[in-house]
Amino acid sequence: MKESSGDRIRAERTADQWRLNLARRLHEGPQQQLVDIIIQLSRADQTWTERPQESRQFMELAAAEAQRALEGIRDLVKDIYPMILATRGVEPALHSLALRLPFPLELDVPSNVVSPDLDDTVYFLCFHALIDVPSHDEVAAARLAIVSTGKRLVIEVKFEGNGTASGTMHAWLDPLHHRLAAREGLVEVKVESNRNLLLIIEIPVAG
Amino acid sequence: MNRTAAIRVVVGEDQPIFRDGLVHILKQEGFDVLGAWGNASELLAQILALAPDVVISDIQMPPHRTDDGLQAVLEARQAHPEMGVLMLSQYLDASYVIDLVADNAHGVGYLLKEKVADIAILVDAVNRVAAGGTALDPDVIEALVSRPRKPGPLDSLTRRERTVLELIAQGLSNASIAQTLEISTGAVERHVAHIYAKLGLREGRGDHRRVLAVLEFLKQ
Repeated sequence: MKESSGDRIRAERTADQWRLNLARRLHEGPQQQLVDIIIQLSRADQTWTERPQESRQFMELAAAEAQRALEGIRDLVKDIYPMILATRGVEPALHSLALRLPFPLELDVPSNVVSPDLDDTVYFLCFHALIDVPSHDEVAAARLAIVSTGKRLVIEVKFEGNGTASGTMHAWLDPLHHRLAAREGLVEVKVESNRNLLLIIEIPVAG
Repeated sequence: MNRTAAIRVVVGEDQPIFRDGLVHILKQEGFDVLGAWGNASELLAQILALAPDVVISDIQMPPHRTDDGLQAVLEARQAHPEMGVLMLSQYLDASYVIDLVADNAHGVGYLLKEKVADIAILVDAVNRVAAGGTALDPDVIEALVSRPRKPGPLDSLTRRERTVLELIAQGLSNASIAQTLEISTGAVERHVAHIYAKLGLREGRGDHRRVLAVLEFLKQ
């Protein structure tokens, strides 16, 4: 499959969109929280000698806000690149991702099915499939299985309950297409019995 | 808690402000801090030389800044299997915790770094791993218990039983659970029996065996 200039422009737009999204989350989350902390600490300082009780309350608020900022940063970092992927590989990373999804995810990923050089590729394909899928709140459950046929690696993701999401609205697949283009892989989307959404992703593996 | 002989602690942490703060808090709380090192290879050498009761170490450390701290501690544990370890991390992954505990749950703790600011949690964790117990971060356990899942036996637990389940997974003994919830040990034992029956778990001997059984269940 040859990458056209249209594909490249689309890939670039996808990446820009992703950056914009991260920038927004940083501004509105941890950055705003750090500003709040500075203000609370300065109010604590102001009241320190005359109203120590009040001062203490400001310090407690600042500590609680710092806690929330840390949580926000941790979530953000996990979306950028989860450290567990670097240290332990794709299987534990997917288990960890499953804990953060709003729906139950059953994983069928035999250990060693993914060779270490494909860890990142496979993880981010799964990540985008699971995170970008439309109508998240309609998904009752999902199942992700990875099998190797020797020449190809097949990732099958089945979502239960959001199959009515229009089969033609595939803009959400852009990050997947973008990644698959580099690997000469392909993705197929099917709707099963008007209820389930099935995603079949295939990438060739070096023999 | 027997405080006649102070628990001997070695610290591994590369961030100076955090390291000084941690050492200060530990000394203040009566622990015998033998030293603190900011590099995983040095840390390993010092643990082997000093044979402390407990190592408290950051997972991410130089030279590679991946999980060097953890690797150093795991290696040191081969030489000193009785040594307690309390790992600290900027991020916590439940599956990481499970793997770490599955390896050998005896005297293992795992806390988010900022929990150090809650001195009671830190002190309790150090004491627990020093005594061969388990001390897993309450937030991680909470995330594990409350994650979305298909309807199953967990739904049949009462709210109280869920709380007890979380405390078991954190590594608390029945006596500690009783103290935390301000109920009798007998009542805790009854809750535990009900939880085991409802989840279809087999009674394991020893506290860390049951931590493992519960974590394995929650992982599904």
